[in-house]
Amino acid sequence: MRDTDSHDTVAGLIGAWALDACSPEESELVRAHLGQCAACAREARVLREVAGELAGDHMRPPPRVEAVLRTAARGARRPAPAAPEYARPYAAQVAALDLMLDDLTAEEWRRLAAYGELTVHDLVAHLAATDSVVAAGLGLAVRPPMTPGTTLVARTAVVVGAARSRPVEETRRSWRAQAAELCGLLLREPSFATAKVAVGRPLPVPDVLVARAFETWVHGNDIAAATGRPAVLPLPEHLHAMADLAARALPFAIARRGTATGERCVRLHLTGAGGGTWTIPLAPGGPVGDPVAVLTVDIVEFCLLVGARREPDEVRAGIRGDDVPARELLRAAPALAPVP
Amino acid sequence: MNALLHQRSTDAVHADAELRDRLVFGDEGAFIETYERYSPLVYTIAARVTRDARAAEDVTQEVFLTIWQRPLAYDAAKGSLRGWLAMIAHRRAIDLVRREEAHRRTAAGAGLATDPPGHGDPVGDQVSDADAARRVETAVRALPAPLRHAVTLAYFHGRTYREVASELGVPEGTAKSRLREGLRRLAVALRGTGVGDSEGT
Repeated sequence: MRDTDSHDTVAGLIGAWALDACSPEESELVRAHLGQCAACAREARVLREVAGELAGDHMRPPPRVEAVLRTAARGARRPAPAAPEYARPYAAQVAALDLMLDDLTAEEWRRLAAYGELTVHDLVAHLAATDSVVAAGLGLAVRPPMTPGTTLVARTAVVVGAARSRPVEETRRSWRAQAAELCGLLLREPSFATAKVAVGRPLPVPDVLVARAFETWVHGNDIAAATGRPAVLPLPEHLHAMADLAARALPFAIARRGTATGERCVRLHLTGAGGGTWTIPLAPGGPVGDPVAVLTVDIVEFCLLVGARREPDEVRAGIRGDDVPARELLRAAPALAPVP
Repeated sequence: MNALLHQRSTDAVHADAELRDRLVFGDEGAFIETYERYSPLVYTIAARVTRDARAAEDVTQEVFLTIWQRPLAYDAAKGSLRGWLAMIAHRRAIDLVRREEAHRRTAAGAGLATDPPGHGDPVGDQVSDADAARRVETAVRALPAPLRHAVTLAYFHGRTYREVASELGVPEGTAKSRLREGLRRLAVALRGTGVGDSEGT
């Protein structure tokens, strides 16, 4: 069938399609055509919206429907674990990744998704491994048991190794259950909001949970890319928390590169939903007075750079003032990404 | 408020996209919000198509479970959440009515007694925004009778355009163009804009 034939056929069917009055084959024909023809897609959208208003919305279902539905929804898909404010970005990323994993095929679980060697299955185990270091640090029992002082790298090796001999569903279940347990513990113990937990070194619990959200999102993106699923951006307030953590950690990353240039600072202006402005000293504890440069970057691009999913040179950045420290800041950012 | 009466603004697209994302992130509050906002629409469609209170409740549940389990199936760039939910509701209701009718035909063919079609017309509490509903009704009534009959048979009685053609005694091509023209005129009446106008800009 030539394109114009298809266009004429579909254009004739659009009204019937919007009213669900086509055969299944014709509906499929329309659906396929709408992806390619902007004019038909526009008309289809308008007619669909009109059709949707034909019945009105003047009746309300009896109250029991909502009660039954709430229970049915929990059974059909687990909601994000309840968590204190600072752990909500993490709980949200866990729920989104769980949703994506829900309909992966056995073949998709085996696809390589990161670092040229980790499969989707390995990545979920890797996330569970790092989560388990946090969980163990807060006093939860983890499986397999962990000796204190185990490094993230060693722990990942153990957990990924164990996962490889198990069904993917078991890996997914234990990762998800551990995440829920962790959130539950944080909710029960408000004192953790001001406590530290050892992850390599002692860090504030809220920061660690934001870092877990960050890594879960970044690996969720890896899995989405490997399996052709849509990637979903974190909510603006969650992106803001991730960017804020990165902004506060940047002076340390710069110091580790040994390029710190003393008493100077750069203003980091992140644009887009969840964005904001930070003043970054070029050395830990450095002054946050007048910046020598203003660096403007899209917040999503910045977060992907921090997650080592962008090269410093390919990030579109606006720089006013001294170019060198601003570039140095961009180059240091990927060092914040946790090493697998 | 009836979304159709207004141009779909960038804000509205954002709001739908954000609600969808919160569903992706497993936010039960977003689920309840979606239900509270759109259950009258979904239920009214289901009730008027199935003409059966229990079936309408079942359809309502299915529709909201669908958006909770598969929020990524909805794409805010392609239309409003309201329109998407209305579409899913209508499809489920139509499927139910068509299955029911196929079943009745089979039972009748086998000489079995058939049950009456439903559990009586759903009543439902009348909700406040009767103005918007009246405006739609007025617009439908103002359509020329041939267009109105075709649209009503298809949307409320679940007829395919082929069935519309045979019931109205017109060629299939005529039935198709009446359905399209009927909706186009309603779009103009309700939105004050034609099909060719761009939206959300």
